[in-house]
Amino acid sequence: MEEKVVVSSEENEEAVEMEEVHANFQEELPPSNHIYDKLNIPIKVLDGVIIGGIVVIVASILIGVFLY
Amino acid sequence: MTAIKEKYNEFNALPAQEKRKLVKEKTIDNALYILILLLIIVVVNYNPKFISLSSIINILTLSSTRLVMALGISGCVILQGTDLSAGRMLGLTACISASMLQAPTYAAKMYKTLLWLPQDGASAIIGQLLMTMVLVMIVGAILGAFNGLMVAYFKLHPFIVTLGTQLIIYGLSLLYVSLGSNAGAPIGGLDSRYTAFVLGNVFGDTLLFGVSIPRVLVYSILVAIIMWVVWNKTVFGRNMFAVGCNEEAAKVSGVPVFKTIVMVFALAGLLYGLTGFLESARVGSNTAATGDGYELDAIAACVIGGVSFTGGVGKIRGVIMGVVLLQIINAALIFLSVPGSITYIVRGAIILVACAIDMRKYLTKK
Repeated sequence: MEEKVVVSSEENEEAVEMEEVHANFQEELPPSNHIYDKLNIPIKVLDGVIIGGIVVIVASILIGVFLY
Repeated sequence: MTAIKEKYNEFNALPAQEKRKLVKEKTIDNALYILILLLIIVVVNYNPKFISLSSIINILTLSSTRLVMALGISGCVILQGTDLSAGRMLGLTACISASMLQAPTYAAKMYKTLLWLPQDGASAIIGQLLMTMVLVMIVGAILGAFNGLMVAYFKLHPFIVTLGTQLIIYGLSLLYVSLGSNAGAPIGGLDSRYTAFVLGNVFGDTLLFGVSIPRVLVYSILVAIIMWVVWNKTVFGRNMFAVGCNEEAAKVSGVPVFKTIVMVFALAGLLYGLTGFLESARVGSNTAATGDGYELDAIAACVIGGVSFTGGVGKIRGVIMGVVLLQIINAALIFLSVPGSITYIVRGAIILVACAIDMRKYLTKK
């Protein structure tokens, strides 16, 4: 048996008010000013940078071990 | 254990496609750690001495002074900034420490009239050591507070501010080493009691499994514990994270933003001063160039350890991990006889990869 949650009208009104306040607050917030947001780089590009970087690291170590 | 089990069950309940996606995400997020683990396995295969106790203690000892510096810089990074003057501050404070604590019998003493250390090598000089340590920490804190003031008052980016102050501090260091009868020569001949205070065995003459544990290791652990308390259990720590997350929101919430920024930079300076005191004894012979480039290693360690340039994110254990991992990479490359030139390429690539991972984490979280 599911328990019925009884919400009084006052509590309900309070919740609605809080939601409104929250929504207004979200609207008032300025858009994110962070450099990462401004750059708007696709995740795939970042994946490429990470994998490419790791390839460079491994290749450098191998060159250092075997060629020098 | 139950939490791990729950997570495992949650993972098992996911559809195959979701599972693959999650594994891919986690692999990329932890790519550097996986790479370092593989590197360790390769080096151990090549030379098993790499994981001997003496080798591990050596890596930890080399990490210890860097850790104190990285703990300072990480505060600045949490504020979405950085501190390029850290290495130069270390250099200046190391030179001051060395000049104050030269052996009384050393012929080329910088201050020949400074006779505050007892002539006999047996007397304790703990008072002089602590006074010097406090002095260089105050010098560091003043210089750090100046950085903080410039950042907070003029709203300048810490990169530009500290780029300028590092040159000023380098100039001050050059002037300092020319004082007295030194004429710019390296400041050496340190009192053996000073070097013993920093590098001596924690257990005196007793060796732990045949290995000496340097005191500097204990000091850095103590600093890390204190910094953990400062970051997690004080109002200042909470304010620092709040300002780093969103300065405007912090200001609206009543956080003293100006004071917090100045205090974070002053605390960082204080830690650079302490690093200078410790590093001076470790290096033995100090010049104005001491500490040059250390800040880059410390910033790299912070990034590797997950202190995000987006601000407001960072953990003490992350900084510790970052410093130790960077030192492990350095040691591993030495064990593999990789030339120094290649080491620079590897370190640079690691920093860039760490930044890309940080950016990726930020964007995927959104």
